[in-house]
Amino acid sequence: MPNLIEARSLTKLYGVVIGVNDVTLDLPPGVRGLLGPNGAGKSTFLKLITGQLRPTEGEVRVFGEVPWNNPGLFRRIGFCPEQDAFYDFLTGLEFVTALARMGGLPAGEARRRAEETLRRVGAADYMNRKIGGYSKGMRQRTKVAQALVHDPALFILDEPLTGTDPIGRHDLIELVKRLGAEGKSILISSHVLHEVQAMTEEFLLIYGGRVLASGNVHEIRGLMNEYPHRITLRCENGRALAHVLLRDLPVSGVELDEAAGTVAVHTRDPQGFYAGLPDVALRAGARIREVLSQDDNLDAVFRYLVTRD
Amino acid sequence: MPIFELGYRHWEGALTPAWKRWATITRAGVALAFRSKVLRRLLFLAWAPLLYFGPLFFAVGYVTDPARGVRGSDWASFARAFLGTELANRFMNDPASLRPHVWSAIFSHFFMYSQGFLTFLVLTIVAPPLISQDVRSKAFLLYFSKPITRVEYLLGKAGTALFCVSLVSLLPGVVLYAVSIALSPSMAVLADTFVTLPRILTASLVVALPGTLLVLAFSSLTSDGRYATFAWIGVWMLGEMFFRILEQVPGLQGSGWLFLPSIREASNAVIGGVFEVDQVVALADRLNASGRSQIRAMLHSPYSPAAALVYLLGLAGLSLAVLYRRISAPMRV
Amino acid sequence: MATVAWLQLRQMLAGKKVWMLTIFLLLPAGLSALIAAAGEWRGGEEEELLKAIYLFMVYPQAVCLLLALLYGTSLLNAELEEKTITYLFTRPVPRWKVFLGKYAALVPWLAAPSLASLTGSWLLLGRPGGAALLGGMALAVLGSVAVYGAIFGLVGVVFRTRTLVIGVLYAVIFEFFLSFLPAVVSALSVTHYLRSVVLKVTDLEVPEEVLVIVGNASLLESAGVLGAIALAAVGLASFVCTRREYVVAEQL
Repeated sequence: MPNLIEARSLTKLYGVVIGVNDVTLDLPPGVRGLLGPNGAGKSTFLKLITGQLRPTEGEVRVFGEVPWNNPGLFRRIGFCPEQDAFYDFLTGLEFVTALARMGGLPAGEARRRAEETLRRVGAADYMNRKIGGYSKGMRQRTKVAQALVHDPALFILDEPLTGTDPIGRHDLIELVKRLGAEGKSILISSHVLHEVQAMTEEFLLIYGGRVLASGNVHEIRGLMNEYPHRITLRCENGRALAHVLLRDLPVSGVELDEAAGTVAVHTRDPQGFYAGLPDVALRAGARIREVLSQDDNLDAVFRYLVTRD
Repeated sequence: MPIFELGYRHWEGALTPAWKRWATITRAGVALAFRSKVLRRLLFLAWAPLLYFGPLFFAVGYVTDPARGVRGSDWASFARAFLGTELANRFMNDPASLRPHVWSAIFSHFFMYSQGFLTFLVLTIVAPPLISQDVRSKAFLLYFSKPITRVEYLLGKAGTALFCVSLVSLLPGVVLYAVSIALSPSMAVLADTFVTLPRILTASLVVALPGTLLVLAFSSLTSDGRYATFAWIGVWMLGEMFFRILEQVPGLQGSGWLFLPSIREASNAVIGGVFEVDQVVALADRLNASGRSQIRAMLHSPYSPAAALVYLLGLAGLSLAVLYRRISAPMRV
Repeated sequence: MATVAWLQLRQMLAGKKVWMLTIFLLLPAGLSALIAAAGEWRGGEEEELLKAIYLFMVYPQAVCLLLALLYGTSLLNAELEEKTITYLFTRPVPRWKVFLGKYAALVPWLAAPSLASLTGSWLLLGRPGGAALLGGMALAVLGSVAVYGAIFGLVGVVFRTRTLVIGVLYAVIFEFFLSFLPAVVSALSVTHYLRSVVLKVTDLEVPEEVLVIVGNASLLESAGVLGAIALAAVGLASFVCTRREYVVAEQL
């Protein structure tokens, strides 16, 4: 399967400020999160792949084509920008229809597709009202609709959950999952890790203009041997369990909190640990109520990657 | 060891009096305005007219010094070039009684032309974004959640523009006055011309205030400073054009209201009244064989200073009303 | 491109700029009414010439120029400031077409009300010069809107900031100063050719000494030069906006 996005030594400088720093990667099709704190280079990277910026050095290709000065590529890309900017004097339907027409659709088809897309994102109730009177959530849905209306193969969302209410967030997450299931490729940029983790487990982690890691969060975590996994067990008779864990399982450290009734374990071999835990628990006579893996998640992965340098 | 409290500590000292708070807005506005290289260069250029008027005052003082026989000198020619031959010769014969009028003529020329245009330029650069930026960024919510009234806000904003304008009108005028005293033959000149300083202050106010309030009113009407700039430039350019056209229409010539489209003409009429230039113009006309002196063409305005002043005050009042209403808009339900 | 033009028209219809346009076009009509009420100027052909000069100075040389300055310089800059430029530049429409579409909307938007105001003023002034003068002035208004719109559109694309100041400087130096010099250099101004168009279309008797200042290029030459300036300005602006990066300021 050909790569969706290819970058070779991609660099973007704003004067002396580094936006993106020597990024080389191949992203296959699929749903992927682009994660990083504010100022990491996420928006710069998105602007480079959507042809709004020209690389200072290196090159980037989307669907095998260079995006700069290549308007034809936008038939296959739908971009939902971060900024809350609209033509407030237009209705939602007029706005999406106009952008659909700019995408090459004939007038009647553009209007039909606009209505259908607005319904799909849950904006049908107010699509004939002027955007100037919309709430933040309504505006966000309309913004998503304009990116989807021409049925692009690659759908790019820049901070789509910013300012949305919980229902709006839920609806958008469900929409992304549906689109992903339909075979669309989606790239979602965000700094809110747990929300993006709800949509996908494939990530591109970016920090200081550099890509720290790319792939599945569990795979990435598994490769990070210098950071032992921390697993918390809520149980009775924690002291006895801790003794047996240290003796019989690949454990590098144990923390006992008898007041809270927990035993926290550090291990570099989580698979080995999980395999042996039931037997150990039986022998220790410990009744385990809950097993929590607290850092097999994006937040922990990101924190470790950022601080390890 | 005691544990030190590092949380928020309330200010125990005296607070700035309420009547001074507007100055904070002015200070911030001036600091922001001075980031503009164009403004800094313009303020530097604003002193260029003194390179002409300074020597002119020196010439005027030099040729009236009884110790010098300088009637035929270059300085005398310089004075004649400005005042006209007849007036300049009369002045050299009777400097004491004519000095206040000659100084008035020079200062009124200074304010009507060079500093008037510079004031327009400074207001074009500084004033349009002053309120429009606050409209765009919804900064009224920040301002009026502090103990600041709308009047103080307006004072602060107007203070920014007026401060910058004073750097090209009032300050050069005062410096020119000091320079002219310094370049005069004796300190007795001070007694002859003591009214000049309050006239300089009044003329600066006339040049600065109506224009400042008008451009601030435009600024309050839009969230994009460009439109305020355009409205201000458009009023000036179109107003000036319409005024010159109206002056050419035979049926309208002599009408006392023709100055209305032109803020510049109205300001010049008031400045002429402040410096009482008509007295020196009348004298120069009497001395001139044709009855129409050179200085008449430069300084005389056919329009009533009182009428022009009423017009400018009306314009200022209307601008203030628009400003007050626009600033109050976010607080109206 | 048609959709871009439609969007631009809707943009120009919305917002407070419409009020400015209305005021700028009503003021000359009001002035014309005032002049008409003041009675005769000098009578005869001299009066016709004076009124023609008045109409030219007010419409093609002043009002149309100022309106083209306001709208032309903000063709792309307004989209950049409002941050809507992203929508236009992430569509399968080349950037030069986006600029062309906006310019194509600008010309009729400014021309139509300007022509209406001009016609009103001409009627109020007692139809000086007859239909020929109105026709000549109308052509000059169209030319003014098209050429100045292109020039100031180029200014807006090339210069991101201080576009109004640069536009005013251009207007003062070239269109108000150089154009009135009785020398070859006046041919560097657009006004020179607009005046020539009016002169050739109408049959006004212009004194020789005035003709030297006003300009006497042939109709073909004037139309050719004006068209070339507009094409060159639009072409250059299209080229620049295709090559330039437009970075929307990030929201804090």
